[in-house]
Amino acid sequence: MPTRPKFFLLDAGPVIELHRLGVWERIVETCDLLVPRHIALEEARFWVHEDGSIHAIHLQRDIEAGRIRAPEAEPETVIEILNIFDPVMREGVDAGELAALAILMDWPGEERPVFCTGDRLATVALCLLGFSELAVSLEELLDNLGLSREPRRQFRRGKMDAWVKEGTERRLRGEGLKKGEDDD
Amino acid sequence: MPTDPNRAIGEAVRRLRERAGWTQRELAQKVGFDHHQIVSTIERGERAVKAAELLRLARTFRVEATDLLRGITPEREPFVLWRAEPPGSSHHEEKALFLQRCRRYALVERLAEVAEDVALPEFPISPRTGNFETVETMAEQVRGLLQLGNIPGPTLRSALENTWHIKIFQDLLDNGSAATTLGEFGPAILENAAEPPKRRVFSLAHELFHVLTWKTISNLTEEERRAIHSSNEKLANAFASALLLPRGPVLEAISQNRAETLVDFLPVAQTFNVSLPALLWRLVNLRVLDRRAVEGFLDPDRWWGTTDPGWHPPVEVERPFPPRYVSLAFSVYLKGRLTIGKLAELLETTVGMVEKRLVAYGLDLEADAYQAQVLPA
Repeated sequence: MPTRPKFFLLDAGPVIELHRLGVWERIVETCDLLVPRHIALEEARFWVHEDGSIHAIHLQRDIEAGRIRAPEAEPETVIEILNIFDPVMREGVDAGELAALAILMDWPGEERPVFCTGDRLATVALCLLGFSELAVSLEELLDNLGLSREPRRQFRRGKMDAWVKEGTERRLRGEGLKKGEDDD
Repeated sequence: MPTDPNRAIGEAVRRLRERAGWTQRELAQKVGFDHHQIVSTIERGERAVKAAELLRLARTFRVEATDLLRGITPEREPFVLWRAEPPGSSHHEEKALFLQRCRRYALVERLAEVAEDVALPEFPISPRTGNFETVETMAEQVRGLLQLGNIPGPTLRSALENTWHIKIFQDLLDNGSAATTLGEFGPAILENAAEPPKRRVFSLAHELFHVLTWKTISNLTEEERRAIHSSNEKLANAFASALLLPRGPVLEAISQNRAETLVDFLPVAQTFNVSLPALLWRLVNLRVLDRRAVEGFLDPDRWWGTTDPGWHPPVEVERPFPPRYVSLAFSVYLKGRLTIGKLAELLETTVGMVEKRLVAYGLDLEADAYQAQVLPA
């Protein structure tokens, strides 16, 4: 991450992990958080404690209170992204992650939010769109905020570095990007 | 297809709504729109559909949001053969869910690179061309082809899934004990989880008859199908009986089982994983038992008439998906070809609940061996 980020776009996994670690409230107070509307209202709804108990996540409340922003993706931009990917990539990414990518694509101005995810293919997709510098792990986000919590492995810096490397290499090879012969 | 995305979405929405037989007002209610005019303006391409609305529409129609977004709808719906059709509006919804699951299974097979056309044997048997003797022969051939052995019941499901790649789903059906279809995704069977386990095995064998004789029924008109429905169902039952209770092994088993009354045949029924009535009727057909004696014995008010002792229908289906489907989806995720959000969607849950869903199938998102694959660093 080149500079200390000012604001973050969160995928469903990090939202859930921050609740699991019990630091959601502190992060909300400290950061400018964006969660794609679809992820906020449909995907990041529950988390499961180690003891098996299920806990609700109330992002609607945070949105209404103006504590987080939940932008909605433009359908045209999502179509544009789908048309950049090859059929395999297109079928592997879900609506929430596509919404996050579309929000980044459409972001007005130079300074886009950094994208925090714990997902390999979502990171690769980000890199295929040329946004590899926007990828950030949850571990790094927590470190930057001085919160010494240990997230699960998929949220650690080392994993993110490996996925960014994979995504960058795939972009160079054109692997995952639509080719002339691919069907629409 | 129109190049304007709003028009493409609008046309797709209209096609899907008409296919479902819903009015614009009904669709608006199902999706949760305040006014039915919203549907009208969307269908005319006069309204930019918001992403959240699009997702609600996709969920209602049981299609993929990314397809709907690009105006893609299935060319035509495959024919679904129900043993007894679900009543009223639930009919379309049951069918749409079943077909969506079949298509998602095919997607997972494609991504796992295991999609292959398995050539199923075809039996041109219908009420016009077949009888109980021909289905007896058919059952023997199927038992051999699937290598089911002398007691086919316990291994039938896995043989159908793994050898013939038949997609077998479970759902709690309002009515209609099972359904079969054959589409671009291959053959598929929908079981009713509200049936007791032994009845479900019989139903599976019954539906297998329809899969293997699909061509004889799928080309008929609706009227022609209705005309032969009852007699075709009898053939399917005869096939199921002959498949699960092979003549030789059954006769051998009862010769070793000292039965003084009909209820004494229960251990044999248990061995073959069928209900006592299924065994007794098979013994009638094999001319071992007298039909009237069995009819008198099988009082529908007694427990063996309808269900197994101590068994109660589940409130929800714990494992609605075939284990092979879940394993393939998980392995595709591990190979980095699915995002966790897509995996959740395929398992009809949310991201935070994926782990719990996987555990029901004996899979563990957090296990080291899996982590080593999915997290390469």
